[in-house]
Amino acid sequence: MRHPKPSAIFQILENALKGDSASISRIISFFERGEIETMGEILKKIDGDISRSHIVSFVGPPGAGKSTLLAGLSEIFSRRFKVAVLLVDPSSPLSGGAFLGNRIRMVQRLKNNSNIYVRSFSSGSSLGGLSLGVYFASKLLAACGFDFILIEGVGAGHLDVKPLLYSHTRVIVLTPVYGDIVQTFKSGIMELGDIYVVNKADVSDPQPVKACVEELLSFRRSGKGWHFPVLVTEAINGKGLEDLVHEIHNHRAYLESSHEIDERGKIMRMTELRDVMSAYVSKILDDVIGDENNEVLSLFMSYNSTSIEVAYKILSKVFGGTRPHVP
Amino acid sequence: MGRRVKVLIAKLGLDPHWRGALVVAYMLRNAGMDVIYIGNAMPDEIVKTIIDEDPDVVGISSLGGAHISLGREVIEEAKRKGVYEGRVFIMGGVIPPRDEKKLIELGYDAVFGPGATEKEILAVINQKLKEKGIL
Amino acid sequence: MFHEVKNRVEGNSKIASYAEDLAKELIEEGLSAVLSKKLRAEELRRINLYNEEALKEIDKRFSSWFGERLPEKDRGSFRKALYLLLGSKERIPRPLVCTPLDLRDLDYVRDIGFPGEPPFTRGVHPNMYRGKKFTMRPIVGFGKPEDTNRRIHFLLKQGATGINIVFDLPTIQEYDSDNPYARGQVGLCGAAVDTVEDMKALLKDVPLDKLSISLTTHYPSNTMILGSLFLVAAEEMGCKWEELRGTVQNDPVMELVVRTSPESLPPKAVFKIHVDNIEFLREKVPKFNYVTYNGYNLREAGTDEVLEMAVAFSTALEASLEMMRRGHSPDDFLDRMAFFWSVGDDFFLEVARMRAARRLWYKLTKYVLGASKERSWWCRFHVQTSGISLTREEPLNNIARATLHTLAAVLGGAQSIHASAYDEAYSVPTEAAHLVSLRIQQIIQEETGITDVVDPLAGSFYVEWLTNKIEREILKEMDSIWRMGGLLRAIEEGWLHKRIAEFAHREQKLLEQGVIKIVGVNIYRADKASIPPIDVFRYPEDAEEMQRRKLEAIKSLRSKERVENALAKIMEAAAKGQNLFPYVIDAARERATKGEIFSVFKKIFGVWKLRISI
Repeated sequence: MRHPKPSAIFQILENALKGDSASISRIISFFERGEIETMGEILKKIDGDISRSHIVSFVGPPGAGKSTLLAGLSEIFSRRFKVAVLLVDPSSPLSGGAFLGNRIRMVQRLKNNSNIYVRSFSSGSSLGGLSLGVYFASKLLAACGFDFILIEGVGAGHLDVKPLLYSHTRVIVLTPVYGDIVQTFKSGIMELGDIYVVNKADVSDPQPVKACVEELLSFRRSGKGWHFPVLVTEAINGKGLEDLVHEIHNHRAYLESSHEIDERGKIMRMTELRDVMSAYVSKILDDVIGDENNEVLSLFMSYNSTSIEVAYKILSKVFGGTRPHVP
Repeated sequence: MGRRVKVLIAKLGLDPHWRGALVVAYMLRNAGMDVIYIGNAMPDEIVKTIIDEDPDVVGISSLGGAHISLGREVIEEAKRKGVYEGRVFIMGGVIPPRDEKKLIELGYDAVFGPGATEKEILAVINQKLKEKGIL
Repeated sequence: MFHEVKNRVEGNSKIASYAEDLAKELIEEGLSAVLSKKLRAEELRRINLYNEEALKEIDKRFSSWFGERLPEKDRGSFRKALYLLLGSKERIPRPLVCTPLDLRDLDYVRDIGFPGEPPFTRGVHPNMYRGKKFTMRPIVGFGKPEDTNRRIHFLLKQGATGINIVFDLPTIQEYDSDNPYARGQVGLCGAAVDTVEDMKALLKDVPLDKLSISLTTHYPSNTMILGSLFLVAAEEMGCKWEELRGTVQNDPVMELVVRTSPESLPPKAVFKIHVDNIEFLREKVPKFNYVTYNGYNLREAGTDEVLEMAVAFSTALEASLEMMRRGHSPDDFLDRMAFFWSVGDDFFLEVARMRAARRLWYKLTKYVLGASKERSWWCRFHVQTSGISLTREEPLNNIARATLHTLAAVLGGAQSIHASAYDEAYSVPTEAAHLVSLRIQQIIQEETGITDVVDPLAGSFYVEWLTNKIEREILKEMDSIWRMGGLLRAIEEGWLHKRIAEFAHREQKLLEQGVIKIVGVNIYRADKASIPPIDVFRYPEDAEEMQRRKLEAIKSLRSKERVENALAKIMEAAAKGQNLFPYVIDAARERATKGEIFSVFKKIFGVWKLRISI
């Protein structure tokens, strides 16, 4: 049955932890759709140091070729490791639905390759950029023994900050088109990357963009710490992928030897907390605001009450006790 | 956390006509569903995707005549891998009327011909999801 | 893995650098801008056909007619968009009535001209159908090669003057009949062909030296493979390649956009093979049209009359530039370039756009590419009447539809025509349906007198206005394509797929809402009882088994070593950046199967899947 009783869920979880793909999928589906209490119980069983796995996020402007890159990388990783690929596509703000078209690139490579697990997600409406499903899926996969978890960001500028924060290694994927750098810079993610990739080098000369990135990075490189590599790839021809894998391994080694991995782990944990809290609050807000019989709201909508007054009233009721300071 | 319906759409075997499958993908996305489109795939690839993505609805598009031969394999492989139960399986495309019954017997929950409208498709999917206790 | 291989430029390096500069210019400035620049440089003098004084008078009277005679509601909607299947809709709204005012600066000599002369609006030959009737070229293909051969002879006996062979899904997708992927699909929708032996069986007793044979080889990769099977078969049947007349499809858009498959080659590889085919066939099989640009399949997938031609012309330009980069002069190859249009419901627009196509292609080849021989300027085309517009309901209605479509094709000056059969929505045609299609063409040709006058619709205010309008619209679309970096880039970015998906989705909605009307389907529906069922073709059931056995036999008789060597040589040639065609021919001679040859292509170039976004 698709909606199993709580006891059945834990059996499925046991199977997942033993490595059964179908069970892993069902738990992830459950995270995407289940009730909060039971989810809480499952979470207790799989919560732990996420750094037993290595999470790599890939963000960059649309059209940078992230999917093709991931398809090639996952194959290389799978020769020695268990790798999971989480693909994220934006949800339509109008209908709430999503077209998840990234997996198509990978279908061929998965033939007879049991070391790769691929799952598609929609970005969801509340958080933008990363859904809770992705967080919990990563935890589950880490608990199930996956060595590498590759997450593809939506490619929507500032919405990509979340996936970057929730990863050990952050890869920014650019194209040789100069305008993309400007856009990426504006979105604020340029300064967050650990590894930079200029893809589609087969389409036009990657050197101008590469040079620009190197210059931007000159401020961050200090000779002692991480060297922030800038790589050139032609994902479609498989060129440069081995080097990228190599640098990812290098970065992991660097994080461990410099103990920065603890710092990253802390950032990831806090990001998770903030986002779970936002999701809760968002849900509450949706419920409250969706409640058209609400007297308080009616007053507001008829211009008899200001937004500050109403927010104060509602949040006080919801949280009770200590109220946040409202200017 | 919301409950969105997840749909997998695949083209069966060698069938090169992709337009209809995309039109349906579009319809379902606009109706608020998450749609995974994997293009052409053989039965084993389709079932691997079912295992990984755990969709509520599996939609197979076939205009090339292989709906019985390969369509049967999708169901059998899904059963072998233990992922047939609790899902809605749909076949759509150019299906001779005499084969529609056969497909239902094989395990498909619904069959759509080329004249199916958006309304019909959504209504049938919702009905079947309720029947299976998914919605 | 395929690493980008640049073909060595032999021959004229001046042409190569001209092509490079031209390509850059087209992307930076846009196609229309480049074209206008070159046209202006010619300083052609225009003489208005319509007298200024007459126009003034007509203007005055039109205003009073419009204001006083025309009912209010028509004044408000004087121009109206037509909602026809696969139609241009809002792109080209139609006026209630056309007058000389819509053609104020019409210059007969420059815009319409004489048939067989620039700008070729009226036709590529001076005497058109009086000199050479349009070829009646039905599509044929199903089951084993032997089954198709029988139907070919039937059609030839009934008066077909050409043949167009179609292949089954496994053959189209380049898998052998005994491949697991082919299961359940052998011989359906087309003929199963795996080796040279199958080609010979297909063409048994067909007069290759007298008859023009079209092979719907769809893709560049398949053209090289099936084309090789055909050429070796023809040679072994006693025909010299220089004598063969016919056409192969060889369209990159087919391979990359129109079809979807478990395994496709990457765009750049497809394009390389496309140009290899052009190079090889132009030289070795000089009477063959080495390409028929889509056109038809693109339109049927989901675009309108404008985008259909814009894509076909863009692909043609892109291929021409590549040929020039390889050192060939445009006049060396343009004369055998051909196109393939779908003709649908918008009767007058279909006629007008065929005229516009000739005029536009002349301008593009002469002014943009710099071709100087007249034959290079001709837009020659085959027409297949639209299959998608034929319905499952009340199939006999489709005879009326196919007749109207064929009529438009004749009035538009097509070189060869296939009229789709009335049982199109059911299956491959029965003999009876195939016969009716032929008769439609023969009746038009022999009983109506239409073919005895060239371009009879010329001079119609409506048709000339439509011709001008659609030429502009096609150029606009081509501009967007080139500004993206050319057609290949547009495909890689998923732009073309997106257009088709959106168009198809909208059509579906308009059909469901009844805005696009189809008689018998969403308007004037009869109850099922009053419509007699038609005979539907049943495929011979033994195709898969027979082909399997044949393959086993061939594989046991041929020399495994020689086949492997031949296949290895294809890989070597690819690594050196050479034209692959001659090596594929050698492999075909050794009885390599099509699936084996395609596997080599996959190994060389890798497999590609487009990421579609909607």
